[in-house]
Amino acid sequence: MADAQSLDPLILDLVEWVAREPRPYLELIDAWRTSCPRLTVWEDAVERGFVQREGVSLPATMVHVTGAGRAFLVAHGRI
Amino acid sequence: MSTLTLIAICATMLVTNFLSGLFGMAGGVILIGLLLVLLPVQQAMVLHGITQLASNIWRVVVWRAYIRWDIALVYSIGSLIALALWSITRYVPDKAVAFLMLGVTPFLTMVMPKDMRPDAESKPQAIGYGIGCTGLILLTGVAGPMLDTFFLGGKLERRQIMATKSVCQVLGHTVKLIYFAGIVVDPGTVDYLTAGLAILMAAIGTAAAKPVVEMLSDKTYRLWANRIVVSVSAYYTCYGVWLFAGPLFD
Repeated sequence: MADAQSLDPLILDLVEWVAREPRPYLELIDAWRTSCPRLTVWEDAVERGFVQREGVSLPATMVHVTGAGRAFLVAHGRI
Repeated sequence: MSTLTLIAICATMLVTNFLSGLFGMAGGVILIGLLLVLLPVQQAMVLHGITQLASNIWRVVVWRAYIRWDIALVYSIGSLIALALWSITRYVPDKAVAFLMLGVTPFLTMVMPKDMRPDAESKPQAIGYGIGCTGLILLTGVAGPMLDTFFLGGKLERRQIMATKSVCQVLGHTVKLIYFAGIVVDPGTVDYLTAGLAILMAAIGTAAAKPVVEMLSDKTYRLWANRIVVSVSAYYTCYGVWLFAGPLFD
């Protein structure tokens, strides 16, 4: 599996995409889950606290950017 | 090929492609290990090449709009250089070498120095990785983990990575087929029924994984993906060592 650091450019893309507007969880997974290579972009973004899920029932679950996510975008000149 | 071997191959295809569909990785690595147990090296490489070609051609078709042809083209020069070099020796690894290399390869990418950052858009690196990855494919049957490090060290977006990697995999497995079915001494052959059944089982295995993928939480995925990579690699390394050491104790 790729280490989190090598995925930074892709994690930035994901956080930037969520920062534009909150996204439905299912839409996000559909757009960002990859195979061969399986890139753990979403998993890393959650683990590092850049995005978070809100809502319990799956179809209504939304993904929002966090303060740490915004700081990450600022630090890399994306905002 | 006996009916029992054919059934074993079909079961292997089904299970490894289910795992590959579930975790989005490692399918080819597990498959070649099992095929090497069931078949002679040449035949295992040919059958593995056919099924991997089928799945990668499918990915190329699905993601064709995102392929970075400039990178794939330069990479193909490296692939052809590797084929030419290997064709001079016509070397066929024995099972001990293949298993040892299979086991060690994922760890090689882990111990690579952090400042040796690959760049997928560098032409010399694309040729270098073309030679290296294709050489690895001819030695072990797979080069996925090594190819991933190359594509992740650049500015490609995720769909470009998947699409362009698929093209490189098509190249690599085509070279493997040409080499093991035509160039080496005593080339491997696979009949149409076996090849057809293998591709069918691979498709069924992948499709069966889809509903299960949704049930895997992010943490469960990480835990099991790491466990699979480490345990499979460790098993291959131990098996390779045992194959090497076995004759010493006869």
